[in-house]
Amino acid sequence: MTMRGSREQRMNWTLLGIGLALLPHLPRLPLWIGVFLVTVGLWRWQAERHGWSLPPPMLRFLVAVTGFAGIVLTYRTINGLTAGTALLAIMMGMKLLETRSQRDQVLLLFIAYFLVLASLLFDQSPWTGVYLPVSVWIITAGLLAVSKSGDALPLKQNLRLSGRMLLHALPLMLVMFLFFPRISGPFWSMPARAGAATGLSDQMSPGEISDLSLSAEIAFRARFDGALPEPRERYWRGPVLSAFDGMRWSVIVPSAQAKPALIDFRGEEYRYQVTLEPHQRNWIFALDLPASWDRRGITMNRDLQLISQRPVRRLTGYNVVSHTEFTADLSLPQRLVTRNLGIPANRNPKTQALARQMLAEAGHAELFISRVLQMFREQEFFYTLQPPRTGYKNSVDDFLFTTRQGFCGHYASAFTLMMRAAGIPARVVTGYQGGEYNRLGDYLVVRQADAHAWSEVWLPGRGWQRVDPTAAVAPDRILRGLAGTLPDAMSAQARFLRLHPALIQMRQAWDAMQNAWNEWILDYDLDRQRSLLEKLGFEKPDWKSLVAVLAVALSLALFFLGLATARGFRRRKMHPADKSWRLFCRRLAGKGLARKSAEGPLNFARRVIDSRPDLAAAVGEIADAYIAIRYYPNPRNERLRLLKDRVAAFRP
Amino acid sequence: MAAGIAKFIKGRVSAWALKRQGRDHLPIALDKRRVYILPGKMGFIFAAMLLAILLASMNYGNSMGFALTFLLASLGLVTMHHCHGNLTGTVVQAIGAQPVFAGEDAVFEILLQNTEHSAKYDLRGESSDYLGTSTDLATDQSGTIRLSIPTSKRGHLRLQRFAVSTRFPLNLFRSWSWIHQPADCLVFPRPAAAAPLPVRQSGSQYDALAGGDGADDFSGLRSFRPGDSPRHIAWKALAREQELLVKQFSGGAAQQLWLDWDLAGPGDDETRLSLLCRWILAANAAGKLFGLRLPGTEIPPASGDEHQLICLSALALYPSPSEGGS
Repeated sequence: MTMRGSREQRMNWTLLGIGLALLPHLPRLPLWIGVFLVTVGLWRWQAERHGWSLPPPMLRFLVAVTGFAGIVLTYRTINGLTAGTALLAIMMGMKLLETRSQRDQVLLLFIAYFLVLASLLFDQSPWTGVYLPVSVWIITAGLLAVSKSGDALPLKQNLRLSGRMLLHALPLMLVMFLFFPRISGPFWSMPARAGAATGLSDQMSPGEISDLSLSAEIAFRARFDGALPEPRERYWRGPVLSAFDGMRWSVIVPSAQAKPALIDFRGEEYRYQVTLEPHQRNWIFALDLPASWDRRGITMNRDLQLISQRPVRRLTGYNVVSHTEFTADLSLPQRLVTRNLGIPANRNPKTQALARQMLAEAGHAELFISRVLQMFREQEFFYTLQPPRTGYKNSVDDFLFTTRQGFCGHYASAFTLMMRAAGIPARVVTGYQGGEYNRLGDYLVVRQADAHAWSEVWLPGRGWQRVDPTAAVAPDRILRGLAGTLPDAMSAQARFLRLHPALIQMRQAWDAMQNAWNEWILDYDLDRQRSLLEKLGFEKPDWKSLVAVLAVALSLALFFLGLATARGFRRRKMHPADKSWRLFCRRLAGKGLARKSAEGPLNFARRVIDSRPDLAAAVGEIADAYIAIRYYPNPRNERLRLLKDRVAAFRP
Repeated sequence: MAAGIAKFIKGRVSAWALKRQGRDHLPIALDKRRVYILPGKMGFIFAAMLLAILLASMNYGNSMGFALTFLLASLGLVTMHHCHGNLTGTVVQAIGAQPVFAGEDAVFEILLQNTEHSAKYDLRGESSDYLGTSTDLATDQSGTIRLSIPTSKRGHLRLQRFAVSTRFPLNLFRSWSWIHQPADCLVFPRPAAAAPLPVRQSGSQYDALAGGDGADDFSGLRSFRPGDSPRHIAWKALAREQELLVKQFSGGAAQQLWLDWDLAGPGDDETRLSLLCRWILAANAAGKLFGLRLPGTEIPPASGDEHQLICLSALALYPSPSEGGS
């Protein structure tokens, strides 16, 4: 192969490696960067083929300044993952305009590995399980081609060699993946990504949750150890909203010093494992009401909500035990009573008056509650995802007396306000209700569309009681999920996806795979490592035992790798004629006629015949046969048989 | 200072390796005990990049990032084994160098053989200061790598030891094996600038004529002997499919040329040797019969490349007062 050919091949490998590393970034990058990169890549490819000269330093400098200015103008920063990746991509393109040496190409491919990492930071869904090995393979093949001096290897050989190295690396990687202590960040502040928080928020104005109802995005998955709770029991507790300004409900962060609530759990317990998608908030969702959980850094606050110390920035798994029957806060501190009765006096006057009137008619709290629910059920109230707008000041009045169309938020809001107006401590609880059972993976999928809001009222002697006014209006919402209630609320596409059985199955299969991926790969962390070591027989494993196991397993893996790559280990298959010849030589050596290392068969045979004329016939025949087999083209099989027979019979 | 320390360490390491391995006698199979390996510069850059990837994966708690880190780290370790294995099992068969003139590069040719079942790549020759060429060897194949070392003085250029090394694959590690087998390259004196052959000097036994016409008097053919100048080969005869014949010219006493130490003066020894060297080349190129006379040595007149080699070697090895071959 010519020098030119090898150089061109090296550049092609470099371009291929970089291209593959940049590919997943392209949709995220602004168009102008994509166009710049593709142009530069194509130009460099052709330049190497035709021997065009590279642009002069002045032009390169101009391109560099323009690129940098473009980044700053586009992102207003060069910090952070998104802008940083864009900057890296631009710098790569500029490097391509001046790269000549093999060293530069090696560095470019190192950066390509780094870009692969960057794309994993953006997205680590199951398809990256394919992308990661393939891209590393190609980049490594490129590195192999680029770092080799002299002639380039043929494409196939390059791929085979790098593929073999990666196969050898696989067991080592597995050992490290399992046992390398997963101490994890954040060590430095991570700039929030675009569209940071998803899902529920820490406040609710009626109608807000309906934005979520069209989102098929997954909130979390839950795998139960035993029976699943009934659909009407599947309330996943989230933020508790106690403050009300007339329209909007919001969280009052409970003080950390507050004495924990006294809870008496009853009935059946549900054990399950939740895999929570990152939503950038501190909330941890669990079946109402969690009794115990396994993850450190999760506590229950005074409002009975699970809170994580750190925002959930990555997929998080935890085990929970919940009871759907419980008594909480039999006695409520006065402070909380006051808080859960607070309403702005001059807002929604008609609702307040109605509540007081209904309470007076009912006589006591329990009857009053059921009368209110009866009102929702029997009067003309409608459940809809597109409710008419209500005013700000008296939004509940508008809803109850004018529009009478609303979503779970409207009903929870109105109900809770009526309770408070009647002197019953009440609050709005948001979270999720329901979940779709995935038969293939045996778990529940809870989507953003399952977001829900309900009420809790506090009754003396009974503690907090969950009341879901939406259930009174649209019982199907609770029993069969959103799809059962509101086919008209779905886009045609979403409805099609939900209703076609084959598609439902396909979607469930895909989701089951995704869930397995989440549980086994993405959520593998220090806690999982601990439980793995416990299964391996460690008592109270910590990071030190991990390091010990890692060291032992790594040494073992390296030992076997050494065996696999040690050339001596792979014995070369010896030609059968050589075997016979060696036997022949050994027998002569036993008689003091050792073949010298520099002696060919002909010379050796002559020397043997000279000193042992009695062996002339046999030695001559054997040497002739051996020479004919090993040194002449197209040896015949009879000769090999003859050689074997003669050598076997040869007794000097 | 730093360079001094590096040199000191290098010296100690060489001494240690020599003591450990002893002198070598080719051919030598490079086995595990004599193959060393250390990470190279690219290896350190790779490691730094791995550290960065690891930190980023930790910071973001990114499981696939960890997977990438571990895959690349394992790849590095595998590379180490492959780099080592790429060298072991090579047999260094021989080393030698053609004579050169001072100022040219002494080119040591190292003959390698791959005795293994798998191909070997990028095997390179090295001395302590110079890098040679590299070669790939398929199974059971032999190949030559060249190690060029600049020369400045005539005499023997001695290579005390050399190394066969490889950075394949990926250039992250460098594994090498030292061979403590001295090899020599004969270095002729640097030829002086073109100078006319000596003419008619007093004191010479014969007249030394500059290329007269008489030198081309054809006197017959004889069979080819190694060392004959190709310009005297009877190509026409060869074309008639006769054996390889050489044209002989009637070389009378007039064509015998003595290249004499004394004729090359005045000047110091090296200047004389340079001039003699030039004369020898010119005389042989002209197809003359010439002899060489040095103090204490006399090489009778003859012609041909073999004769030229003998004469040039005599110049190369002429003892210098401050005896010190390179």
